[in-house]
Amino acid sequence: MTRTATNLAPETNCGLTVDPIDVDAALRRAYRADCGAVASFLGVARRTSSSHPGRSVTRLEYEAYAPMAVRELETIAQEAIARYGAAHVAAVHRIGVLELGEAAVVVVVATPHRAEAFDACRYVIEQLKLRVPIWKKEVFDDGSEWVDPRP
Amino acid sequence: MSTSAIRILYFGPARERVGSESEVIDVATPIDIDSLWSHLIDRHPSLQTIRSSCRLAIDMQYAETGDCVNTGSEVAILPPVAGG
Repeated sequence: MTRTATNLAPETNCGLTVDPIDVDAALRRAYRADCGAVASFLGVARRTSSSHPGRSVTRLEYEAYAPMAVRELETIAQEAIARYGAAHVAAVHRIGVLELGEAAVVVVVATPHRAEAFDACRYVIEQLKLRVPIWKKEVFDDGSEWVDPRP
Repeated sequence: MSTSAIRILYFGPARERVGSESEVIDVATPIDIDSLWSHLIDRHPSLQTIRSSCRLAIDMQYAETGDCVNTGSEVAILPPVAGG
């Protein structure tokens, strides 16, 4: 969708999906006539495991406390709007079974200029990893392990 | 103080240890979260080893030490989150 008005109210696009994430649609929704910058981040299901080096991941399984997860995503999006002047924030996470190479999460941020877009995009993904109640299980040929990303 | 039912939700490794996504328990309310944890570990001893890593949410808000659960609240046991 092409937007022509200026000074539109900030908008958010936060949620969970069991279907593959439509990254192109998430990007298109972020385009705004008042924003010269759109930054995005994709988290992708990866073969290597940080906590189990040497073992090959065959797939990932995500689960969420869905209503709280959506609420936390929305809160983080509103924080990005307040802190960085973002005009559009999308944060969509996939749950269920993911094959390697599939997108697990997409973050898209639109701001008037690029510096704030990069900063806001990073803020959203880092806060998502800290706060949003989503769990990830790495499945290997010979078993599976819940991921605990704490240092 | 009265006895009432509260719903407990379990996720990720907590769900697997308990063997269920949710249950309704009868406890005297209000109950502080330390006492609730003791109650849950009595029911499910396998939660003991992950208790220190888990957070707890009351009605979809992260709880802090000293917070209390009231009648009708929904409590979630949240192991370390790993989105992204």
